Amino acid sequence: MKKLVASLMAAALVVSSLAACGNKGGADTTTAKAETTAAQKDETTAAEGEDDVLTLYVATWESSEMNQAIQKACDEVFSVKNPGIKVVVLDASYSDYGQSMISMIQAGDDLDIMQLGHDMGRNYYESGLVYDWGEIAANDADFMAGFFPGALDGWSFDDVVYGLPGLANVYGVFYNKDILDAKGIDYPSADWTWDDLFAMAEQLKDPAAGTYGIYGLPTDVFGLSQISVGNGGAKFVDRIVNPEGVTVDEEMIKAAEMINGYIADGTLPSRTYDGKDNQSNFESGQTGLLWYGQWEINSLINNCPDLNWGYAPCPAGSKGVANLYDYTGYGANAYRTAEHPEETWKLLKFLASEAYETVLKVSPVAACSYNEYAQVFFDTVEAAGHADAAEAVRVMMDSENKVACRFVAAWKDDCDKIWNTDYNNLLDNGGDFADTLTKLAEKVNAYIDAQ
Amino acid sequence: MKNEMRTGRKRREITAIVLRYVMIFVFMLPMILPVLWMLSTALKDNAGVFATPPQFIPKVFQWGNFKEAVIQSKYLQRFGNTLFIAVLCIIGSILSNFMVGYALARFKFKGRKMWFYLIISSMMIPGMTTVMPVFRFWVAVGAYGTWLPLILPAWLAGPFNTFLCKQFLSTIPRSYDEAAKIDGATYFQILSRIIMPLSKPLIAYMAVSTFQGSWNDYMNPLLYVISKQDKWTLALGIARLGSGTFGIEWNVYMAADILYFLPILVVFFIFQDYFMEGLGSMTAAGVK
Repeated sequence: MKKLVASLMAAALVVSSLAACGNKGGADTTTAKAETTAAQKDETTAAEGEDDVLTLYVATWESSEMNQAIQKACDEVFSVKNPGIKVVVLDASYSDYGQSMISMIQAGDDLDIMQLGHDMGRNYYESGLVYDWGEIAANDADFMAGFFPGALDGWSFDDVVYGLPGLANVYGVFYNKDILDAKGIDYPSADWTWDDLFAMAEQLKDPAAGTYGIYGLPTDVFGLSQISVGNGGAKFVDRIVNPEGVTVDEEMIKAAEMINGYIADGTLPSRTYDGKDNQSNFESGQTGLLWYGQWEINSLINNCPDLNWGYAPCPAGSKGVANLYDYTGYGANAYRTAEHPEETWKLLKFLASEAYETVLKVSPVAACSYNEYAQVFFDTVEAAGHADAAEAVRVMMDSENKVACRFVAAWKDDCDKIWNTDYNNLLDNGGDFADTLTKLAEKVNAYIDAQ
Repeated sequence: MKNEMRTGRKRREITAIVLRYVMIFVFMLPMILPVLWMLSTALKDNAGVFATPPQFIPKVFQWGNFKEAVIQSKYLQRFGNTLFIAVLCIIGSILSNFMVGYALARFKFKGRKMWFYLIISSMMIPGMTTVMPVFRFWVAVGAYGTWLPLILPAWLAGPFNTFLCKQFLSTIPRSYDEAAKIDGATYFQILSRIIMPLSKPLIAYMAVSTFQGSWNDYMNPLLYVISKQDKWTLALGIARLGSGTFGIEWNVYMAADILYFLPILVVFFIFQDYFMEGLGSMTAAGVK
C-alpha cells in the first residue's frame, strides 16, 4: 500500500512538473503562421447526411442580431439557390477576433470564411492563411465590376485577391442640432467645404472651458491627405495596399500648417489628446461636432432617440471631396478552400453582396460596397428619419477620390514609428513644415525601398 | 477626577472609532463607486445611460435589462458550463496539490529537493511563452473544442499551490502522522483523515482562488472552445456583449457583468473567514 501511494504521488509529481507552467497566461499569436498540424484533419469536404450537403462555416465579429440576419439570408436565399450547400454562421468576439481566427485555423477547426478588415486580410495572406482568388475573380469580371469605385483596392494587390469587400466605412461629421441652434449656426450641407467646417468649429470652441470646436478629426498624415487631395494635392500613399512610396507636396504642407494653427488656437485637440470619450460625449449631447465613421448612425438611432443630431459628409476642398475610407469584408481559410473553391467563391460573393439585402434592414451599420445592394442601407436610414445621414454616406461612397486611412503593409509599424514622433511634435508645436515633412517622407521612402 | 479620566478615555475611544470608520470609508469609496455606477447603469434606459448631467440614481428603473442580459448572454446555459468547469477544477486542484505537497513534505525519496526546486522554478517561466506549445499539444491529442484543456491542468497540480501545500504541511507536526501510523492508519488515511482536516483554511484558500481563476478565465475558453457555442463559458458570453462593432448596449452589458461577478462575491462571502485564515496561515508557513 505504502509503495502504491508513493508511486501515485511520484507520478502526480512528474506530471505536475510537466504541466506546471501551462495553466495560466495568454498569447499574442497574431503573427503566428499556420502550419498543417497532425490534428488538422480535413473535415472540409465532409458531406453531411445522405444528400451530400456541404456545410460551410462563416465567422464574423458582428452582433448576434446581425449574425442572425446573415444566417437568415444564407438559409432563405443562398441555400435555396444552392441546395447542396448549408451555411453555419459562428459568433466570435470582436475584441479578440484575430486571436480566435488564428486559433481556429491552426486547430483545423470548422471555418471556411471569416470576416476581415482589408489590412487584416493582407496580413493573413502574407501568412498563408487566406486563399488567393486572383484567377477565379479574373474569370468573374461581371461580378467584380459591381463594386463601388475603390472598393477592391483594399483587397487586392498585383494579381492577388485575398478577399472581397463587404461593408464600406466612410468618415464624416456628426453634429448636434441643438448646440448649433443655440449658437445660431446653420447645419452643414452635403456640399460644404473645409473652410465651412473650420469656421463652424471656431464658433463652437471655448478654450477657457476646455471645449474644442470639433472632436475626432483625424490630424494624422492620412487625415491631412484628405484635405490636401481635396485641394488638388497628390495622395500621400500611391496605393492602399503595399504602397511603394509616400509623397509630401505643397498642398500637404499647407494642410499641415493650417492644422497646426487650429491646434494652437484651441479649435482642434492636440495630437496627443486622448479621444476615447469622444463618442460617449457626443451621445450624451455634450459635443457640437464629432468626426466619426458612419456606423455611429445605427448606434444613435438605437441608443439616443432623444438626441437631435445630423450627419454631414467629409467636406470638399477646392477640387472636390477626397474622403478617408476602409472596408470590412470576407476572406477564405486557405487550408479548407482548396478542397471546394467553387462553393466557397459562391458563398463569398453572396456574403459580399446579396446577403446585405436582408442584413442591412436589421442593422444599418454601413453601406454595402456592392453597388446593387447599397440602396438597402440608404433606404433603412431614411426610413428611420435621417435622410441627411443617408445622403452624407452616399456622397462619400460616390466620391472617386478616396484616400487610404493607414499604411497597409508589412512595414507599417516601423514606418509609423519613423513618422509619428517628429510629425506629432511639428503639428502640436510648429516648426519648418516643408523641411520636416519632406525629410520624414525621404526617411519612410528609404525604409520602404530597403524592404 | 476618576470621572473626568473615564470621560476622556471614552472620548478618545469614540474618536478612534470615528477615525477608523472615516478611513475605511475613504479607502472603500474608490472601490465601491465603480460597482455602484455599474449597478446604476444596469438599471437605466438607453437615454439615461448617456444623460447629461449623469444620473447616479436612474430616473427610470429598467429592471428588464437583467432579463435581457440573461437572454442575450445565454446566461443559464453558460452559468452551468462555467460552474461545472470551476467545480471540477476545485476538486482537481485540491486533490492533486495536496498529494504532491504531502509527498514533498513527508516522504523522503531520491531527488525530492530537485523535484521541489524544479516545480518552484517553473513559476519563473512566463505563462505567455507556453501557450503555443500547450495549444498544439491539446490540438494534437484531439482535445481542441472540448473542456479538457480547461479542466485537466487543474488535476495535474500547479506550482504555486504545490509550494503552498508543501510549506503548510511542513508546519504540521510529524507526531500526528506517527500517532496515526501507530494506530494502523495508511498514508492515504493519514492524508485524508488527519492532514486535510487540519488544513481547512488552506483548502478554503485554494478552493476560492481556484474558483476565481476558473470563473474569470477568458483566454483558455477563447483558445479552445470559441467555435463551439454550446461549450462557451460565461466569460466568453459576457465579453461578446461588450464587444459590439457598431455600438454596445451599456445598460444590458453592465447588468450582465453584475450577474457575472455575483457568484464570486457569494463564494467569497461564504468562505471569507476560512479564506482570511488561509491567507494568515501562509505567513505562519513562511509563504508570504
